[in-house]
Amino acid sequence: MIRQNVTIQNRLGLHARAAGKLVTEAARHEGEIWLVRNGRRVNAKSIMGILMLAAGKGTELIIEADGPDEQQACAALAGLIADRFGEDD
Amino acid sequence: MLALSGISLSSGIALGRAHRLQPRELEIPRRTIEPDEIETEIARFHAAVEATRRHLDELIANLEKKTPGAHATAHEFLDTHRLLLRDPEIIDGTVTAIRDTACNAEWAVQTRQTAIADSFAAIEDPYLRARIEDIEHVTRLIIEALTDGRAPVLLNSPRLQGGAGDLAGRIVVTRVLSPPQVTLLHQHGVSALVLEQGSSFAHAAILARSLGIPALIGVHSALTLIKEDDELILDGHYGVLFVMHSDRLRRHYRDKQHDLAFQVAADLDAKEPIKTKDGVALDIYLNTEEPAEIAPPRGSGLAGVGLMRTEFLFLDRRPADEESQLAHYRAMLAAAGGRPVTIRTFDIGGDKLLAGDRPQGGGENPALGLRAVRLGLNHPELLRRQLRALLRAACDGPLRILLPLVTTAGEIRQVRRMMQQLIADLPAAEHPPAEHLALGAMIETPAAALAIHTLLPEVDFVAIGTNDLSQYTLAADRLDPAVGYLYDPLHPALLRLISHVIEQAEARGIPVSLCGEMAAEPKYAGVLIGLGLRAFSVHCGAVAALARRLKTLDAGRCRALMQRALKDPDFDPQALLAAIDGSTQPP
Repeated sequence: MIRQNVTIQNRLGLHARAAGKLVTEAARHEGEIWLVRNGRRVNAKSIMGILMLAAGKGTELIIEADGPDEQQACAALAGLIADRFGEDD
Repeated sequence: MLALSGISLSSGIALGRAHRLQPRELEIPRRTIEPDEIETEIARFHAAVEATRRHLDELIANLEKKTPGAHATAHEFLDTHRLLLRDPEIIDGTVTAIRDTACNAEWAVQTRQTAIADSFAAIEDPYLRARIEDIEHVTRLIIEALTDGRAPVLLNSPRLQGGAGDLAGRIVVTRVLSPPQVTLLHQHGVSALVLEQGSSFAHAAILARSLGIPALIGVHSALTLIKEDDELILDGHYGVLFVMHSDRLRRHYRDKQHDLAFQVAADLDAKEPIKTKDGVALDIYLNTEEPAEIAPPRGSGLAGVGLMRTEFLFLDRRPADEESQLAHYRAMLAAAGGRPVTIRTFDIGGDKLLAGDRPQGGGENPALGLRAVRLGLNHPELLRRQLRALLRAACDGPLRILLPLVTTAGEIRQVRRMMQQLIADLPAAEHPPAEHLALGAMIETPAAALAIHTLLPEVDFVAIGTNDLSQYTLAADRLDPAVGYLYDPLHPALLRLISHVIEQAEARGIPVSLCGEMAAEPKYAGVLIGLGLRAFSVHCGAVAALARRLKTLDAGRCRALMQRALKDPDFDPQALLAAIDGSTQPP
């Protein structure tokens, strides 16, 4: 299992649109992926779980991935967050 | 007649017969199942989820067929539903519940849903908390599919059995709607929606707006008070729904709708400026967000756009970016074809902003809180983005930037400095010509009206907003039925404030217009002319009647009547209106 710290960068945080992109990406990977905020751990393949994190801009999260493609999964999710989900601000 | 009020999501008008969608009451039984039935029950659950998903896919495909490429908002919301349908928390959670408690699938979905709702109730952010609605919509669809043994019925309407056309033109009255239901109703051509519940955070509400369907939400007891086939009129401008109305009211709204849709300025001739009987030239400007309303030939007799509101660009889940704002402003300038366009910076309260932007705290009285230009100065990045788009748009034509809810000269100075900085940072090719740019203040607080002499040196023009000015001066909310009687545009305090602003502005050569509902009401036209007003800004449905009225007035006579009225200790508004009427001459 691997872990990576990330900070939410986009202005609106993990609202429905961003959460949708995140789970769609997570679902492409075979292994299990979680997002952790302040010790609260949710399934990154669950849009509901992600919404319940209520992670606004500046929130620090940990991505945890476990499985044969854990490296790629972690990198893909971190990339999406760093790219602000393609939003322009 | 019955008039119900609600929260309006758009300013459209709809007339039509009511169609009630009675929410389906579903009994969800709890059954214990035998151990050897568990796998069958799980398979039944998966089949129901699959049927629901196919149903949504179909809906999305139809939407694409009907309006290709359009309605990104609709797609996005339906996608959220699709993602929820394969959400492990919901799907795997339900399967586990069936296994662990040996209960039927309907009951397992329901208990899962209740547990999720409890967790959502604890979320502080109102937008995210409202997402429980999406989850409820989805679990409800699954339960219906399970109960009926086939794809869920999105709209439980007997009319739909007869064919798709049967809902066309109807005003649908129901308790609450989901985004897929709104999409489907749109495809069936309904003319408007009336919901008993619903918050402006609801995806269905945002969707109705983006599809351009007039909608009122929060109309209490609508299903109790409205019968099937009742004739309804929905006035999105005021947030009012009329039931069992008179023929006269229907004619009024038909005309209004007709004006909106076709001929705005029947009485306006572009070559013939509007003049009072005694030859005083007057201007009518338009309050509009719709470029087609100002474009010739319909809008050719109008002096320009007196008020383009921009709230619609900020009420969606995320404010429009600079480029999309720019496109809206440019479209309006192009339609105005060289006539001035007045664009008001966003007039919203802090509660309308989204999670990341929402200011902390917030008082109990939003009308007196952080809103309009105050919010803009508190969130300079939002205001800067809008100003940048406005400045770039001003390359195309004369643009007047109007600041809402100004209270002090300092606010105007701050915005002007911000504008100067933004211009300095723009590439030279995008510098707006100086003669295209004007900065003005909306006069809608008693403070701004009384201290107008301190604001005038800072502005290029002022616009009096009588809706807020009345509310703040009279300390009465016009939508509160208990104190609505106090909301009188002819209260002497209000008349004195308006008179003071016009007098001072005139003395300094600063153009002044008036853009509240008061300007749109022909019976007040003589009062305003008498107070010295020469520029009216009204919505397009009001143009023709106002123009007709203005041509019958004698400005000198109105002036004399108003000068006396302002000093009269026994001032009687009705007597004043009668005196003005007596002084009119038919054209």
